[in-house]
Amino acid sequence: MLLRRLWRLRSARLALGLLTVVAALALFGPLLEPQSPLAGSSAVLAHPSAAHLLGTDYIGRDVLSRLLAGSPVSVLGAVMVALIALVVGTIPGILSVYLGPAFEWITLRVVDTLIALPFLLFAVSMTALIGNGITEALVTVGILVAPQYYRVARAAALSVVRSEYVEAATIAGASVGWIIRKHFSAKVIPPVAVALASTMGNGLVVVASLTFLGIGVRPPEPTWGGLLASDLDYLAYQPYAPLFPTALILATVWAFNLLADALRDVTGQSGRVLVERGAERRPDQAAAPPGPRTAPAAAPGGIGTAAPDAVLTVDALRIANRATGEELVEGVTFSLRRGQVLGILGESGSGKTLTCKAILGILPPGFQVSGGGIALGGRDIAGFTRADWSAARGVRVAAVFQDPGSYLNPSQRVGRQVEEIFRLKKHLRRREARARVLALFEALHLRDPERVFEQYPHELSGGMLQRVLIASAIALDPAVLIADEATTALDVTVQAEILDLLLDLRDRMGLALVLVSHDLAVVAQLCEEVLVMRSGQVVERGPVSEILRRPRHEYTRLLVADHHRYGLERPARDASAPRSEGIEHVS
Amino acid sequence: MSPEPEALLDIEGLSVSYGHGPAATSALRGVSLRLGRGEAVGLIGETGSGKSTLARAVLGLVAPSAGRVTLAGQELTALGPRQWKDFRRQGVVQYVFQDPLRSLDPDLTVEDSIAEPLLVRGGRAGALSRSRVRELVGEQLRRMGLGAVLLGRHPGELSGGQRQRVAIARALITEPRLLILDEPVSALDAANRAQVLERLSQLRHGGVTLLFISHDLGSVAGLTDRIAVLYRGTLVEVDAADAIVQRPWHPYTRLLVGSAPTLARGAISRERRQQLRAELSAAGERLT
Repeated sequence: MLLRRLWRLRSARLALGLLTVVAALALFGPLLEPQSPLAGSSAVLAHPSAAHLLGTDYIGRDVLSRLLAGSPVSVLGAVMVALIALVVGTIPGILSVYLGPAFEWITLRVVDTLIALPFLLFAVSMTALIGNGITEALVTVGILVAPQYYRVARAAALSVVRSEYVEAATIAGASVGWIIRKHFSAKVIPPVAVALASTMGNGLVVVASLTFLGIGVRPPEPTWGGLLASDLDYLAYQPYAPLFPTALILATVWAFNLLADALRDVTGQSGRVLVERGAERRPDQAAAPPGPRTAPAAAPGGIGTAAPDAVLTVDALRIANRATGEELVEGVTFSLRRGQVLGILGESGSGKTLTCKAILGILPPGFQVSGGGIALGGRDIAGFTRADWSAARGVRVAAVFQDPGSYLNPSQRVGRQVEEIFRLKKHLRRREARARVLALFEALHLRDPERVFEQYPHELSGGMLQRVLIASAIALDPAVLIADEATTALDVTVQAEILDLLLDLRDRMGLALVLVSHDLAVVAQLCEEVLVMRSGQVVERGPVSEILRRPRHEYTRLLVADHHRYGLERPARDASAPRSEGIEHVS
Repeated sequence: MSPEPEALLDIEGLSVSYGHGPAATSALRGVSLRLGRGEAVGLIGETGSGKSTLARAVLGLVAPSAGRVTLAGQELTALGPRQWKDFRRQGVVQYVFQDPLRSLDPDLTVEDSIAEPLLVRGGRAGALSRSRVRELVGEQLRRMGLGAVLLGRHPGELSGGQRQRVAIARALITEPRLLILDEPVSALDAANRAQVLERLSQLRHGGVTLLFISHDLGSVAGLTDRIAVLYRGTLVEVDAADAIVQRPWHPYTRLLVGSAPTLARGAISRERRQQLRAELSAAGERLT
């Protein structure tokens, strides 16, 4: 399965081919030796010839034979290092998640200590301590590499053990063995396989380095590293000599790394999609990258044009993907007067958010307005320069989105972040700016504004964060506020508070609102006019009351019917109401 | 419906707290609730009200600090780990998670995911043959309005709505008598929502006991016989769905009903909501 997937990658085929050659060398290399690797001859330091394809060394031994004879120790040594590390690292890594805090604490400390040790130095001193043999050296190196496996296995185990699908399996009565077999192995094996391939590469370098330093193997016995060491002594006679062992080491390491990369590419969920199906069947995940990190805000520029009736006009707007030419918004038209509330109803992928982003001039990269136009306060935004935008955002138009937390800097007090708008755009002093922010917070019914000012985003609830975001959005008295799914993630009671607040602002400041939502009831609650969007097109529009009473498009009909069948309206109208047991008040 | 339905699930004085010693916070305080056979009950509460904790306690995923849970005559709170496993394998109760993106193993095919609750039973006596399992999986998939072509696919190749329907098919494969659903439709688009709600209403009429957990009264009101309102770990009101909607008694319930957006443009006015919020916070309860 994994092999079949790997085989589809050219780099993996190359790596596997090379590694097959290397494996053959390691297993059968000694059989191919043209001469004995230990037998010297009178032809000392001979250049390559028909008799000695790669020449001879300082006591006349055939270099090719020595390279071949050195393959098993060098390659199998690397494999052994990786296998020792696999066993010593992976098992405690997985167990650390299951065996409780004591085991976890101890293994984590051991791993930290091992990582902190200088690698080669430690290996060298360990062989001094436990004996200068190849096995000792390999075990030492294996243990030193083990933390990498520990971490990889632990991370994978943690991700699985806390997942909902494991919980679902537990609820169904799955045993620990089942969970390991079914859910766990598929998550742990790929990263461990990647680590295995890459440590084999590293292991080869380490074994070569150790043998280069004369550790683990005694001189007559040939190894790639040892060959390199002796070649260096005779560089003046055979300047090309180090190339042969170096080339072998590099090619092998490169093949291991290539394989590790290929494994990384084809394993896991993304790999499966990447290799097997191509992109065509991936669900559309509304791949719009996040907008700017702060709510758009702007200076009170000298925009002198008198505001005509419409504060926002969108005329036959079309938005296309620059690369494919595919149109994602196809001809949206609406206009908004002061104090008016317009609803845009639609689902993810309907083009409603792209439309909003176009109005704010923050279309994600790769998208462009391909037709029609947008005017803010009577000015066409097509010709807007950077400075124009900076002057318009926050004044002519501002916005709040879902997930307010992501628009605030987590390491700064929220008050300071809102204050910045006044300091930068109105050039107020800190004290005045602070007073303005506190007044805003007060107006938005944030309890205890002084305290909220000093708090960090993580200390505030979702509803409070959204109020802070609204505060920064309306700080400069914008003409239009776009609320794109601004209450979707909130509790119903908090949602109602935020929606009430938006209506208050409309009443008090004459704010024009564009309320974008997937929720028919939310739109019905607040808006006079509604646009229903579906796949980039406006499929229905008109006064809310009209659309609720006589929905024409199939999608709108479905939404309305849905509410009447399952929503709050249902019990209220239900004549055959279920039994009433009176009020049970338990407290 | 019978006047005194025999209880399928009986929760008595259930309390759950997290943490130990002075740092312990109590998530549920003395909650009592009975679900009759074939009844559909909505459990409504805001974030942190303890509604998910209640479900987790019923499923044995968290240990209650006090109280008793009895399901289908079996006292769950008295079970040891082994007995829990045996009980779960009967498939009497199943759970549907809120987020279909996380509740399916990305490495399992749709078929393997749905079949899992049957397959975990292992090769014990009475185990189903592989072909019978296939048949059952296909049937559940069909009933969720999904085609057999999906069987070999992985969750990454499905839309969110399809995943949630697969997750519900997985929960239904053991033919549970109690199905607990945590915001089952809040992440779905209109078409998928309609399909899921339709299936749930079939189940309801087919005699499966349903416990809907939601923060939004509006999303489940039409599917439930009774609604229980949870506020800060305490059940403040339990009544027939229409009574809760039309004559809410507790201030929190009144605010909840008044906050739920409806097509009829608001059950109560902005000013009234403002009043209720003040009333609740005056009672020492902070909403936000």
